[in-house]
Amino acid sequence: MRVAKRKIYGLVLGAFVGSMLLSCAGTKRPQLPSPEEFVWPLPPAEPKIQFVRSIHSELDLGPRKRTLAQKIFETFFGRPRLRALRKPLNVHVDAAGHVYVADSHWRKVLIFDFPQKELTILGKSGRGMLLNPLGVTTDENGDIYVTDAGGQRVVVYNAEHKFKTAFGGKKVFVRPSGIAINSALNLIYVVDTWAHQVKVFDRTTFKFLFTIGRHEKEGKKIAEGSLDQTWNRSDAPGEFDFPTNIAIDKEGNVYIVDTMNFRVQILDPRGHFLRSFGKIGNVPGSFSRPKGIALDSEGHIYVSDAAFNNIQIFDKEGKLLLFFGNFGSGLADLRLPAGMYIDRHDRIYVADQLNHRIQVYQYLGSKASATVGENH
Amino acid sequence: MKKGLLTLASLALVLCIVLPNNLLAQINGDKVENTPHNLRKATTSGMGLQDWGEICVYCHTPHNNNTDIDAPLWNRETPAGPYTMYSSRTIDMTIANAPQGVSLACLSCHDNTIALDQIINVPTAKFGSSASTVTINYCATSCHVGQSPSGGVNFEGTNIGTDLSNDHPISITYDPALDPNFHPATDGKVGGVLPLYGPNKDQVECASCHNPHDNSNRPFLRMDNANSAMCLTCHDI
Repeated sequence: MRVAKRKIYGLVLGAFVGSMLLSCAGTKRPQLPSPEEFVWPLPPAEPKIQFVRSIHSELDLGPRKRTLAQKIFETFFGRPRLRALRKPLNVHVDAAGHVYVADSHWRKVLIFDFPQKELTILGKSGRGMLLNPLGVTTDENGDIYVTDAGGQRVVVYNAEHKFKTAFGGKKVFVRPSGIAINSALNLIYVVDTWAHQVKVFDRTTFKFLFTIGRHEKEGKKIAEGSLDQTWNRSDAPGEFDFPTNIAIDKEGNVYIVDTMNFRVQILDPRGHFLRSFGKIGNVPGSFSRPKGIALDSEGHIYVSDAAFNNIQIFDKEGKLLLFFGNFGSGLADLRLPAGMYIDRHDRIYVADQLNHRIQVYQYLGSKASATVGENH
Repeated sequence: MKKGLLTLASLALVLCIVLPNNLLAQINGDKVENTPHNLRKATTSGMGLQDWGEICVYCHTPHNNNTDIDAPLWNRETPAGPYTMYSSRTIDMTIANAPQGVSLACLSCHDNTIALDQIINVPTAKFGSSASTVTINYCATSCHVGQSPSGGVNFEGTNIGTDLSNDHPISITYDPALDPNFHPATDGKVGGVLPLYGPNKDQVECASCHNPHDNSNRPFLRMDNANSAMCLTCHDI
């Protein structure tokens, strides 16, 4: 009897283990499409833009470094909550490869340090506390400049993420959003969206220098920071209607997305009008909700449009060259894209707002040599 | 005109924006040209600037529109994709996997840069402190957050929690069968006033509470929310 029981148990156990092994044999990991699947323009044309990756959360930095004590603690008490992007509005990348994201749900700036595999949340408390950051940029010293619409100020941190100083305030800004720095001229350009102006500051003293855009009402100058500035909307050259973001080219010219005029304006470093392009419409080359702007190493102008959910690429004269991006939540898609930045390696970072991620694309460079009429 | 209404949306969350008095008269209107959604410069600025001559073009386009969306003449694609939006431990109804058509139109401006977004400021902001700080004085947040002036039930004690960065859910299916604390909807509307969207006329969107063309009940509410009357049109509590 005993022998028979053992045999039965043995058979059952063997059958159980065997079926477990068999069920494992057939499993395959799902195949994600490779980045080469997402190129623009489509073949047989030469690809100019290729999708690289998305940045969602600290998981994209790589596996977390944990001490032994942390590992033991987390085995019993569970891992800390994953920190992921919630609603990124603007993105910036510095020379060292850190990715700065102004997130309007976190209400803070998240810094992805890929070399060190660390995620820092900037502006949590103290003098540098952020209430509503809309734009972020850095300079060559590693200082971080964040526009805080909630505090109506620009907060400056040093490279160690410690509060350095802040400028602006209620009497200066109505709603600062985009920001860009001209290192050569020591100028900080802050786009004051609800004042329909770009305000320029000196980078060494943080003193206010001058305003670009309309600043008069009925012939009288409007007091800085006064809500009368909200009447400044204008479609004249050099004047704005809800400007949002700003980019600076190698010559120091500023490129400003004049959102509710549905155009991009290009001005010289002092704010004198050079040219503009764009109009409202829903055909390629026109704009509907232009938000982000960035320039690649060859001087092409990239504008993200939250209504088209794509990025349109123009040459310096404003001629449309290419547009890429589709609406959706797929790997390379966009959903209400906002701010953009292009780093030295021509990698294009787009704040993909409602997909809570940063989409990264690569400009593959102009393979053909410059043709007649192109001036890069 | 579908259903006789041009129903583009503003925000799902009720906000009260503090503005100086000389602006109030111009923005409290029942016609879109008297509201902040009149983006035409001449009227709102009152400075006689050269204007576009059109109010509607900022949001509507007559050609090449996407006919899948319930908002008329909208140039936007039909949304899809996995997406977690609002979440709550007490939710009973199903939430769509993405902000749907009408609400996407709102969010393209109300993303916190051009216009306030759907996120209310965290409760550290004082009520009515400055023009840039949103005053929260409707329903949930005046009564149900921490030390409230009106002494309402503190949500923090129940399962909602202290993180109020979630807004009132949009793209959520309104189905009183799943949760008895809601009034029934008839003919795609609740209380005869608040419309539901989608192919089955059962989705709550921004435009269910807001009428972007009519600012008589600030901010762009479909009805007066005194005593939370609008909230109570749907919520049966």
